Formats: sequence, C-alpha cells, structure tokens
Amino acid sequence: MSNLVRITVNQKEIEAQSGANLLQTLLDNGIETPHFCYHEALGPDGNCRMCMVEIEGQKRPQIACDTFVEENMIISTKSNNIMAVKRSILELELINHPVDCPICDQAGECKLQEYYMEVGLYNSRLKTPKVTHKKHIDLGSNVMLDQERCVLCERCARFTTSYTKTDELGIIGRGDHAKISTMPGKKLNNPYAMNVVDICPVGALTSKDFRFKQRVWFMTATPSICQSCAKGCNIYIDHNQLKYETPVIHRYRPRKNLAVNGHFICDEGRLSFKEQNKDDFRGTYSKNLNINFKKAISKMQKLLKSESNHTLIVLSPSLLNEQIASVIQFSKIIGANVFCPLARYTDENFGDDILRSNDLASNRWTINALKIETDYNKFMDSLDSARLVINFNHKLLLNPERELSNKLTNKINVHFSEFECENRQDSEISFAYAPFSYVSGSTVNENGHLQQLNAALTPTEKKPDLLELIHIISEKKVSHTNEQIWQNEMKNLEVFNNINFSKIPLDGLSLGESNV
Amino acid sequence: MIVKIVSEKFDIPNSHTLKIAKEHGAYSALNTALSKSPEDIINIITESGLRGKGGGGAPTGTKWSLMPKKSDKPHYLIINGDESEPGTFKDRQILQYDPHLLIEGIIISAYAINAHEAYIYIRGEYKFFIDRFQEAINEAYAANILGNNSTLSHKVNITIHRGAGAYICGEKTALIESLEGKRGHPRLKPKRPEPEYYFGNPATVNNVETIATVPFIVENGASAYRQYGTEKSPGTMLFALSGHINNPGIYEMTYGSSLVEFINEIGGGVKNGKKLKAVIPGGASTPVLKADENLACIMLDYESMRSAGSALGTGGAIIMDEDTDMVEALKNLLEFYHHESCGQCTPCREGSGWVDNIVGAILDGVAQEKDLDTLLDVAKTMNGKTICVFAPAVAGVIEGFLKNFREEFENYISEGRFVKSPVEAIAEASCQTSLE
Repeated sequence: MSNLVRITVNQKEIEAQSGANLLQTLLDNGIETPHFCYHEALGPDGNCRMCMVEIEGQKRPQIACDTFVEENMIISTKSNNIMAVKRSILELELINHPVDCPICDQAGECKLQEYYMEVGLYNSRLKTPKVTHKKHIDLGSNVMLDQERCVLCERCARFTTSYTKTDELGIIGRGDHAKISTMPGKKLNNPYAMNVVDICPVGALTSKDFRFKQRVWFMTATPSICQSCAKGCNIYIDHNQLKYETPVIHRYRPRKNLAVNGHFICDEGRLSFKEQNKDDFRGTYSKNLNINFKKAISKMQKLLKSESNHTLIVLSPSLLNEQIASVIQFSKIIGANVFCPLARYTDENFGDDILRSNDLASNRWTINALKIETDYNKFMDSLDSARLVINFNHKLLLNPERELSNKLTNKINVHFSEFECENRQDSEISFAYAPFSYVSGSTVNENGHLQQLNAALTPTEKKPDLLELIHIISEKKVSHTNEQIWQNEMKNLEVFNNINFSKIPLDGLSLGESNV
Repeated sequence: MIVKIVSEKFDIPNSHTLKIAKEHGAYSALNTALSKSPEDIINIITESGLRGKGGGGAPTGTKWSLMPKKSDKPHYLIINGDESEPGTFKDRQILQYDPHLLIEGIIISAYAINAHEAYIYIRGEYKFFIDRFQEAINEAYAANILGNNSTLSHKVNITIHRGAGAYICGEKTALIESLEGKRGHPRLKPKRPEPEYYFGNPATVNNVETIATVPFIVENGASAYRQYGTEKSPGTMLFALSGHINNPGIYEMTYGSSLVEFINEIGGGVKNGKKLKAVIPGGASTPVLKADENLACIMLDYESMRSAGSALGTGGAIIMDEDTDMVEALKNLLEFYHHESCGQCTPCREGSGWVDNIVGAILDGVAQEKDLDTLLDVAKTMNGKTICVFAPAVAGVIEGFLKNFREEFENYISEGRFVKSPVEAIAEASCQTSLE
C-alpha cells in the first residue's frame, strides 16, 4: 500500500508516505520539530501545541502531529511567523514551570531546555506568582513525580492506558491546576512502569533508582541487548568512569527497535544493570584460594590432558554466539561432549503478552539451531561417566540442587563464571570472566532476530573476555576476536555461515524461527 | 419582533404536564413527521435553514445529513443541555415549561437520523430542571410515546445524563467524552466533515432549543419558519437579557431584530435610568460591544453580529450601565475562564491563568503599561492554536475589552483605581449606515 508522494519542507523536497503522520515524517527525515505530547508509540494527542508548522493554503498554523501527508504539501517549520508561534507557546509551557534545572535530574536531556535554546531565548514576562504543586510524590514502581515540572503532555497517562492497559495514571484538576496523579491510595504498579520516566519529556517523572546518581552529560550510551530474557530488547547502556574509579553502569534505557521491543523495556530488564556492576568475583581460584592466573591456566591444561575423553562441558544458554562458537570449537579440540540443559532458564510467571518472555535463556535460539543437547536426563546420564566437568556459567551447576550436587562432589569441577557462585569452594579451578556489558558480540532472540551487542565497559586482567580465556587455555587453537571467530569457528556453523559480522545492522537481522 | 414558536406554551399554567401540553397541541407534529421518510425530514430542516442555537449557529440539516444512511452500527442522538455559558438561561426554560415539546423534537430528530437512543446531557446544577424533565419523560413512557412499547412506528428511549459541573462539557466532543465516562476533554477535530462518534458509533449533537424548534418546522413546513428572520439566519431564537436591565428574562424573537430596540423596548431600558455603556451580546464568550453610534445598526443575527466584531453566540445579552468598571468586569469573566479551562491544550491551560493574573495585577494597581501588551500577546497565542474554541473565545473577550475600553485599563495602571469615563446616550434607531 505504499504510496510515495513528494512534499516540500523548508524549500527542500522530501519523499513521504501519503497519509502518514506529518510530524513523524518530519522527524524521520531529520527535521527537528519541537513536540511534547506526540510519541511514536503512543500516537498524537494534540495537547501540547508545540509541533506547529505552516502549511501553504492553511490560514492558521497547524499541529504536525494531527496532519496527514498529502501530495505537494508545502510546509515551513522555520519561518519567522512559525518560530514566533512556537516561542509564544513555549513561553506558556514555562510560565508555571519551576525552572529548577540545577537540581533537576532531567537536565541535559530535557525537551524544555532543548526547545528553549532552539526557539525560546526570551526574558520572562511573568510577574505574578507561579502555580505551585507537590514536588516529590512517590508514585510507586521506582517512579517519582514532580507535578510542578510537568507539562501535562499526558504521555505517561496514555502509556498506562494504551500500552500496559493498567490505567493507573490520569489527570486530576482543570486548567493550570491540572496535575498527573494516581487514584487516591493507589500506586503505579505494573512491570513496565519505569518507561514513563523515559517518555516523560521533562523532569516531572524521574527514576528513584537513577536520580541524583549521575549527570546525563557525563555518561556514554552504548547500544546493546538486554540479556534478562529471550526477547532480546534493545537497550542503551549508560555508563561512565570517573577518574581513579572503576567504570560504572548507571542505567539501561530502551532503544527503539520496531522489530523487537518497539520503544520500551520491562522494569526487570531495566534494573538488571545492577548485576553487571557486581564486582564480587574476579581473578582465578582453586577451591577457595586465590591463585595466580598462569598457575590456573597450566593447571587447567594439565587437567585437560589427564582427563581427556572423560570431560563434559556444560554451557549456559545465555552466552553470546561467539562465546558458544568458541566453546564448541574448544570441545572439539579436547574431545568433550557439550550439554546445555534448559532447566532453571524458564519462569512460568515472568512472561506476558507485551515484551516479557517466560524463556530466560537469552540465546536459546542459537543453542537450538546448533542442536546442542538440552535434555536434562541425558545430561545427568552422561555425567556419571565424566570425571572432569567444565561449566560455562550455567546456573544449574553454579548453584546446584541436591541430586546434582551429590553427583558433582566426586567430579573435578571447573567453573567459568561472571559472578560469585555458591559452590566455588568445591571447584578445582574457577575463572572469572567479563559479563556481556564488557564485550561485544551477537545474540539471537526467541524469534530468530540476530542482534549485535557493543562493549560498554572494558574487560580487565581480573575479569578477562571469555574468548580470550579459551584462546589461552586451548593454546591458541581457538580464535579470540569476534572477527576471527566469525571467519573461522562460525563459518562451520550452518546457521551463521552467510552472515557478515561487521554488517549486522543496528536493529538486527531476522534469521527466521528456529525449527527446533 | 416577538414571535413565539418554542416559547408558545411557556405562559400556560402546568404546561409541563402531559395533559395540559397535549391540550395545547403537544405531539401533534409526530403523525406528520413519522408519515414522512427520514430523508424528507432532513430536507425540510435543511430548507428551513434552521441553525444550531447552542452558540455556533451551524446549519442543523447539514449536520444531520452527515449521519450515514445505512450502517450496522446504532445511531445516537445526543442533546446538549449543558447550558453553562454565563448570561445564558434559555434551555432551562424549555425544560421547565415545555419539556414535552423537547421530547417531541427528540422523537422526530431521532427518526430523521435513524437513532433509537437519545441522551440528554444536562448541567448538573440544573437539579430542578432535570427532575422536571425526568417527570415529563416518565409521563411519556407511561403514555407509550417513548420506549420500546411505544405505539409510534419509531421507538425512542431518552436517558438523562447529569453533568458534573464542567463548563467545557458544553463543547460537543468533550460532552461525548464525558458521556462515555471519560474526562471532559474536547477531541481533535476531523479534517473533513463527519458525524460525531459515541463509543465509535455515529452520533449527532444538537442543542436543546434546536431540537425544540424541529416539531414546528416539520409540522408547518420550511417556509413557515423561513417567513421569520433574515435570509441567512431564518426563524426565531430565545434571546435573553440580564445585567443592568429593567426586565431581565427570556424573549423569543425573530433573527434580525434590532439590539437597541431589544434592550430599550422589550427590556425596558437600562436599570435606574442610567445610560448604556456596553453589551456582551451572546453569552460571556462573545466580544463586548461598546454603546456608541454603531450599536443602533447591530441586528440580532449571526451576520450582523459578526460584522460588528462580535458574535450572536447563545443570544444571552449581558447589559452594562455607565457605572460599570470594565476592568472588574473583565476580571470577573477571566476568573471564570481560568476556573473552567479544561487544561488540555497548553495555550489555554497556562494562558487562561496568566491573563487572569495580569488583569488581577491591573486591578491591584501593581501593573505597568507594557503588561497590556503582554495581555494582548497572550491572547494572540491563545487564539486559533488550540483544539476547541474555548481559548479563542477568551482571546476574543480580552481583545474586545481592550479594543473598546483600553482607556479604562490605562487609567487603572496610572491612577490605580476606576476612573469613570463619560458615556453618551445613544439615540434609538439612529442607525444611519448599514453595517452589512
């Protein structure tokens, strides 16, 4: 049904879909148009009146969010007249705003600030007192509300109405005394609640978790993929490193990808960044003792030789593609069987029909596509004949239940893990390796969408890249960079052999449903 | 000229009861109406030139013809009785004195747009009138005029919805939102003419008085209605007088009657023999008119009012005598708008409060000359940039006051108090130049 027409914007011709939303068309074409209430995921509401444009043939300026593209439309977003209109509306937006930017967490990513610099730059003409409201209301679900900073764009209320369908937020009061609120005694309570903080264009809604922790201009945003479940929601990792301090991730923010998660992420995934900051496990250990890295490697290599043909490898279904490929290559070299039991990677109560998936194995698709054995009973049977068990961060072995624990006590256990685990004292050797936010790579979500992750932090000596570890242990028989792994190890894997790693687009590539 | 079409039975004692109303011809138009096709009725209404009497003056026939001819969805007739415009008190007279005329009009109008359900949204403060109208509805149900057991070929149910006190719910789309159980926020307007939608079903919203006029037109024909009024504003309307006037009240007159005659002859002139200073002609939201030599040329119809720089609105004229403090008067109006802005669009939400505060500062004697420019600037921003016409109306009110009485505002700023300006008496019927 595509019907492309030409329209003229600021004397420049652009191509646009006939009947499309004009504001979205302008934004898609990189034409900055101030707006508060319109949001791609929530549609137009027409209340902020900021997105005014001049359309030739129309008497009055029109809001772009409620205008549909028509052939030969001539639009101006920059004429003196329209700039004056925008300025006058922004002035009204700001008359009752407290302008407390120095203590506002939104500063630096606040639309009021941006637009004031873009179209405002006037002196205040307000002489009468401002309308005052409550400044810190705990809405619940980690969301704080400052009613004075609010521009009443209703994005948050519309989000709870149309996206989560929980309807917690609404407006009470009229005129300049209108304010966002929950019902008396009720709280904002849904698994997606913190998205309202992102969609709030101003500092009215802030995250209790993030507020006052870091100024946004001191942070770097790295595009990545949430690893909390198999949905593979696109995120930005906002992180920074202060002088003489360890790098810290401050928050995850959803990254728009219409093929996967749309514009949002769930709160569980959003707050999972805290795990990435955990620094409870670093270096190498033998039983409970810290041992030198070189010693650990040579011990490991000795073990592999002495126990060859009695080795069993277990890998986590949340490893990245490259890590899986590397482990598989490693298993071939040492002649070990590879298992990936899926127990402990499902939570029947987690999923919903919005974004959350019951499947907590973020890369199960690849495990299935590579036909790695996932049957728990087969794994338990094979365990009997094994003497050396190498675990790559599988939850089942990191915190084993009794039956499994009994079986493992007679084995030589080696763990590669991101974080501290219960049974480190039982393991012959434990290697810490860097979690996903430290490395780049790729993962495939439950719908077969191949997506790329970028390293936000840098692996350290005490927390090396898993690929590097395997590379060293295997005496360089397994590649250690993503590019090499895609060229060598992954070329042998049918599902990945025609993909060029460097050309995976930012919003991913569909590989189709896994047929396993 | 006084002509009683809608107000015919207003003076008859107990005209609100079915018995008395029937004795005086209520429901006599039903047979004529139901023997015609719905299209015929719409045609008659279109020909009659009946204009909506809620303030906008949109042609009723055109509105009705937007309703789909064939559709699987139920149609709805929604009557706007949320009469909240200051200076307006006409619909309640119909509810009080001739509710059966309204019911008759509802049945005919519902038939014309193929609706079986009619909702009437009445402002919550009208408790007495709501009860009165409910009694009439009950009587009509009992007499099998309304309801599913009705003996008529077209069955109509009427439900009263009581408003909760928001002025904005008189705006038809806000009214529907409110009726749907949501916040009374006006909806974005469609790009092309289309019916309103109530829960996604086609609906028409008409004012109480408009619907009450329908029986007369259908019974007597379009030309009977057209014999009154002007070419573009045919028929009659319930005009109201309030303020500094000797005979305040509701008077049904033909469109095109003289405003000055209305005030002086029918209204009995300004109270206490004072001189006329200003008139707000059609409810608070219409720009004020100054009593000068041009006033005599202004007629009570949409076109004449428009060319005089105001609007006919609801026809509720507010009369102000020579001692009226115009700054105080504007402040009074702006307080109302400040309180009633629904808060949806930014210019209105923030602007209505700001202009109120600026005029408050003028009254308090703490304003400066340039604040008047700010006031006009804000009014300009409020005009034509919002979803509904609330903000433009406020802008019009401010601009009207400043255009006609700027001097008084300036005096307030320099003197800090009201300085009475001399008002000349206007000679009756002294119109020399036609405004048309």
